[in-house]
Amino acid sequence: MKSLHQPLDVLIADDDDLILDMLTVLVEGMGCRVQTAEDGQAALETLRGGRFDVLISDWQMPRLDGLDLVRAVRRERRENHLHIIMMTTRAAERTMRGGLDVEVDDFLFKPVDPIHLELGIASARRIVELQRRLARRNRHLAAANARAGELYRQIRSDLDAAARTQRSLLPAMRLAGPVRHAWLFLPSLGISGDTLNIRPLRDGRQFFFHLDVSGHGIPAALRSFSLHHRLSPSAPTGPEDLGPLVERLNAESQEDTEGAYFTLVCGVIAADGAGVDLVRAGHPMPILAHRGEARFIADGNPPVGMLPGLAYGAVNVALAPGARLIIYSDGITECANREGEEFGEARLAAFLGAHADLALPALVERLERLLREFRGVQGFEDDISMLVIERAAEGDC
Amino acid sequence: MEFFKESGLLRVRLTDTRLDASRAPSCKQALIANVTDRPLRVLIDAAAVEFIDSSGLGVLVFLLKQMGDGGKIVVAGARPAVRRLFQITKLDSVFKFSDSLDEATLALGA
Repeated sequence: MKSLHQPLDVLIADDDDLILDMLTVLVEGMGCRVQTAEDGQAALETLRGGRFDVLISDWQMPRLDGLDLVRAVRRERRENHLHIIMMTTRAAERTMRGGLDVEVDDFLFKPVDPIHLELGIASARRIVELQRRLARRNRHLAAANARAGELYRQIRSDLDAAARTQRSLLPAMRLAGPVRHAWLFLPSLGISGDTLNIRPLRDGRQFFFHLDVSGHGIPAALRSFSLHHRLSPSAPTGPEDLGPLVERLNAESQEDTEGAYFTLVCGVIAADGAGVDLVRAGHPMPILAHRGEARFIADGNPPVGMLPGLAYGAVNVALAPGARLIIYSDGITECANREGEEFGEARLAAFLGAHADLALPALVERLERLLREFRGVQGFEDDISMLVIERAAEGDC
Repeated sequence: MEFFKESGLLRVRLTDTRLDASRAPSCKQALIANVTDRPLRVLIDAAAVEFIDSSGLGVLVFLLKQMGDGGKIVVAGARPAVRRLFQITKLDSVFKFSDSLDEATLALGA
């Protein structure tokens, strides 16, 4: 590729030696490098073998005339600009229009007036320099674009890997036995500020949590990741341990200088599923669904990490056979459609009440479909997640 | 956000209709710049706010933390949707609510 101010390489084609010699002297005098060709065919071959900026061609030449030469050149050289000046005797407009049609850039009338030639070369030089500048900018843009694309692919692949790691933390669904559970987990950005877990304690009880870190994106996801590991090994011996567990988390979380806090529901399910002790800390109100009815559990305390010294306490919820406890993030209730209307608590409760007969996996799938339909546009603004815990119906263990 | 120092209390008028993640950082900056002398009593005029999210709640908690020990905040004129979020997150136990500015001033004992 030529540098911006390199001399122009000019090919002059004419079957008249005298004119060739005269033009060569003049054009070289203007600081250009010149080669010559004695007819159109020779010019075309020379052009194929070299890199020229300007072609000055006679109109009438043996073998291949000027018009056919230009036509052939324009057909062959689509990428690199060649500035073409056609020499002709003062001609009729129709003749010149023929030149315009094959994309001649400029005309020189014979006998050639040196000042006109100088004007033509000066104009060619400006256009060629502009072309070179444009080509250089395009190369830079293409290179920058390739680098940005490479970085984006790298970040995307890192995020995908992080998302897989985060998903691998989630518990296996359990669809048989006296206590079953299933979940829905739809991060808005691949990785999520929400997380959840449910794991057995030694005596057949199960400990569970569902939390949502304030804010979105990578910082919230990192925080939820670390909280997942902080909470998962918890093994409360009784309901009286749950409040102090959250109080300790609240004390630890006050040191977060970014001011991030999280909402949480955590608790313990009895081995037979007949009851749940839970603490709700600023989290959306869990829903208890049974036999077509759905009610909210309103007891609770503020989010964790907001204010120091808060007290947290557990409540006991009885689960009848076949009843479900549903814990969800505000990404579901605040999921907004095109008109800005929110999905809302009432719609969620109605859905859960109406689908008490649906098996857990189908329930979760149906809710995901309903949310996507409601939203109406691709993707969600906030992380969406839900944990459903079900006590088996009588005769269904 | 507008700030008025009145007899014995600081009145903060929320001017945005939405107090959400996009507005929270600039609101925090405004609080840092304007709430300097650890006020004990703050009245928040929330009548203009139509929507608040968890980041918006974070702004009000940030204000509470900037106040001196025993600081008291009363939120006046909050719309039902705004008040609802305080109820769900149980922050209605931390912030007090009043229907009008006069009532709030009275509640703050100013």
